[in-house]
Amino acid sequence: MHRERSIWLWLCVPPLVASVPGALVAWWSAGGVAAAICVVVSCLGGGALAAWEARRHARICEARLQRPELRINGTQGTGLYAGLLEEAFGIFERLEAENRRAREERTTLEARGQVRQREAQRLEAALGCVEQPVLIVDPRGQVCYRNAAAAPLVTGAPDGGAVELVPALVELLHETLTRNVATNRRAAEFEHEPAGGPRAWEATAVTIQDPQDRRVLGAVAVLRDIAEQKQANTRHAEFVSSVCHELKTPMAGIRAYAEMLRDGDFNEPAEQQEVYGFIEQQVDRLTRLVDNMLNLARIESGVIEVKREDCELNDILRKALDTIAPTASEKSIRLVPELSELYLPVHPDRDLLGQAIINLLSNAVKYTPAGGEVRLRSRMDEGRAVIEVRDTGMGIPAESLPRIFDRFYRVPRNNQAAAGTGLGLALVHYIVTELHGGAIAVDSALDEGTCFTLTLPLGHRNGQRRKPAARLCAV
Amino acid sequence: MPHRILVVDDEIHIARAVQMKLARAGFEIETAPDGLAAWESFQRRPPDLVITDCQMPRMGGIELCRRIRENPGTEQLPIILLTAKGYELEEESVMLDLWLSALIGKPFSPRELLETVEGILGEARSEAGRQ
Repeated sequence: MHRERSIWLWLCVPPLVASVPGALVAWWSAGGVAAAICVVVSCLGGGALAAWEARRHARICEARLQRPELRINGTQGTGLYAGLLEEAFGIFERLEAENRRAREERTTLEARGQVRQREAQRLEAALGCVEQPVLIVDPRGQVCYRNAAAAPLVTGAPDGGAVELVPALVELLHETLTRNVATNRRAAEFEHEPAGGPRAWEATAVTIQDPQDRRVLGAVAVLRDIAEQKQANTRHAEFVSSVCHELKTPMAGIRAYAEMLRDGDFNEPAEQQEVYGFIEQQVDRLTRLVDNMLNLARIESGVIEVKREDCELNDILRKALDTIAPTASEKSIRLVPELSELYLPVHPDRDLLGQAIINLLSNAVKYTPAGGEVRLRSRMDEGRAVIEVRDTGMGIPAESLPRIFDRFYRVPRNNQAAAGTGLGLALVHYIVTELHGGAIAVDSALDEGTCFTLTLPLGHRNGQRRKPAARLCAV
Repeated sequence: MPHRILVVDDEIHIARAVQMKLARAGFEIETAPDGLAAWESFQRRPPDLVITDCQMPRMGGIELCRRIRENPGTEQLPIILLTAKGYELEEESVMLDLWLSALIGKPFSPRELLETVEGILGEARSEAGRQ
């Protein structure tokens, strides 16, 4: 500090030196007033002289400062201002060193900043790719970051507007931030209905702490969409429940009749015959259910064995009709066969195709009210065998039609009406399309009825292929 | 005058087993294949006891019970729910909500069902006698 002050002292010297002789001469020759005027004029003159001299030396110094090699002994030949310049050079060199250091620091910081920025960009891009929603909040619970997947969980403008979280998440994050003594990790499940439909989430929130002083910097929440898992769990539980119901119903009949037979409740031979018939039917029903489940399990594990052989389609259809006839008659449903008079050669697995037809007929009987009609028709159409199962039942709502061949799916409206496992149609679809190269279509009207149409390739495979009925062609 | 019992089940073989067991014990049995048919029969002539399945076409057993409970004069009519439903039917709440006399799971013993029916109707008779 005193160095800078000494520069000013040096600048004051020339005017003072110049004014003293002038003042003495004026006082001696013209008295007080003239002496004062002389002092002022001499000071101004001295000042101007000093300024001129200072400016000249400043130019020299500037030139020397620009060229560091001239700074050595830079004060030589500068006379009066040698000391002053020496100080200036010192200050200048110090400032220059500080400046250089600052520049180096700045460069280092900039480089570090760029590295950090790249790291941040990389992390942000990585979080953006994560399919699970990720949210980061500050200690006050304000959202500082969210990835693209978290969009459905926040409301508010994405362009800097206030961002609000769904209430369940706000609560979870608040708990995590405020009660992080025992544990800094919390999990919660919640449901939320964004524009795309209801979703179920599982959220895990963890506080983020400063590694040095353990200060809480905020919290991060990672979410997992558990809607499908929940649906699968529900479907599984419903399936187990349906299977139990389906198993218990025929078992109930068998159990009841067995006990009543033992108790001697049936004395008449006709009654006894009726009861034996009931028991047989219920055992067959249990067998069909178990077969359906076994075949589906085999399909799922890829170990289904298909034994295809040449046979006549109507034979299989007649057997299926025989199987389902007692159930239809129990419900007073008319079972109408309308089988083609033509020989329909096919090459199927008799048991599996039979199972598919029985499943369709059984469904038709199940969902047709007493007094209704179920019609089984076969015909030949453009070189393919066509089977139709038509009923006058309750029908399938249009919105359910795309899903009826899904495993475990049950039409909600029909679910109330009758028990079922949701396996039958899935199995029919697989047997017809995958195992036999056929096709299946469904046409339904609510409270009027449903028609399933199966199409199968026609013809035998073992050398004795029979031609379908000859066609008359106009030439 | 024998007691009249309405047996409601879409599984004909079950309804027939219950019918045969109870008819042999001297009860008068009427059967219905679903809740709606049962309700129509009920309105024509209310029975002394209803034995119903849960899951049936057109109208299920639970809805039938509700209608019976809301119908003036049959709020306390004895009802037995005979069902193959498992844990999904919250037994206690169903019993309380519908004032069921009994809830019997399938497979069931016709002998025990008969005992339950006799117990309920005998109690009802003795209560009527006291009044």
